[in-house]
Amino acid sequence: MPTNFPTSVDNFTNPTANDSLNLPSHSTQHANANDAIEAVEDYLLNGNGRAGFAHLNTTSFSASSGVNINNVFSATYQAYKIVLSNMSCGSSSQNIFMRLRVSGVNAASNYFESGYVSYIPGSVLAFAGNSAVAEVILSTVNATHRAGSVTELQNPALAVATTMQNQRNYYDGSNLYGVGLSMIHTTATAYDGFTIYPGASTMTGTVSVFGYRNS
Amino acid sequence: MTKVTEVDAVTGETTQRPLTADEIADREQTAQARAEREAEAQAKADARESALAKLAALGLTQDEINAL
Repeated sequence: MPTNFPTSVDNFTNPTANDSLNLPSHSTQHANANDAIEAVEDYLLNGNGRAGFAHLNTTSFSASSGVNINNVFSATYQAYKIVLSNMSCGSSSQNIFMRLRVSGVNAASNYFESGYVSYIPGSVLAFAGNSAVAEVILSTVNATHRAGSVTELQNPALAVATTMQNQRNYYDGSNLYGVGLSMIHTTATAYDGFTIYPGASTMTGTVSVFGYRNS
Repeated sequence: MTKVTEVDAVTGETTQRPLTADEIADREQTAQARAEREAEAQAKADARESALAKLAALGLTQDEINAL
């Protein structure tokens, strides 16, 4: 009997003191109990069978030329959050770029981004954005002050366009910059991962990926 | 030393390797395209600043320039 978890409570047949081992079947009793235990474990540990938010991967790196996170996007999750934290670079200032990838191959075209840059002290700066370029910017970092960013992605694992929203901060020692970007990758391909890399030099920091699932 | 970290999020396996020749060539090509875009954007910004300065020199107020 397959378990009903998490839809409803199972109704197991309990053996009585005088029952033989084959009625009810001893092996079936164990199989049913094992199925139910595994379903509960899968629900609690992997989130299978319930809507929610799950941690998928965290990778820290130092003096790195690039980080490829593979097999992190799947049909299990509809949307994802990528968090870059404690980021710095080996030179004065660098952008950290991202490309989607599948089976170890990066998608290097059809990225669009548009948004704003503001700074303190100062005002909102115009940001024209980029059309049909080879990458999007996830973060701006320098060697001294740690930076971070949060990027939300919708449907990267489906064969449709991937939409993204990015928020990040950058402090150069005197000015604090805030950046908000709307981004899209228009190629209708199902991706299983992404790569991040600095515009030049190397990068140090941590990347974490979380998944949103609807059921 | 250029090193790339490869992560398999399913197995948790993490390895490091050098950038390949193709990856290095791609980085260089992308950086070149990036520099050209940035130069073009800077040229547009410079032209706008120059135009605004010329309008101000003609006697337009800041409010009038903003209204254009």
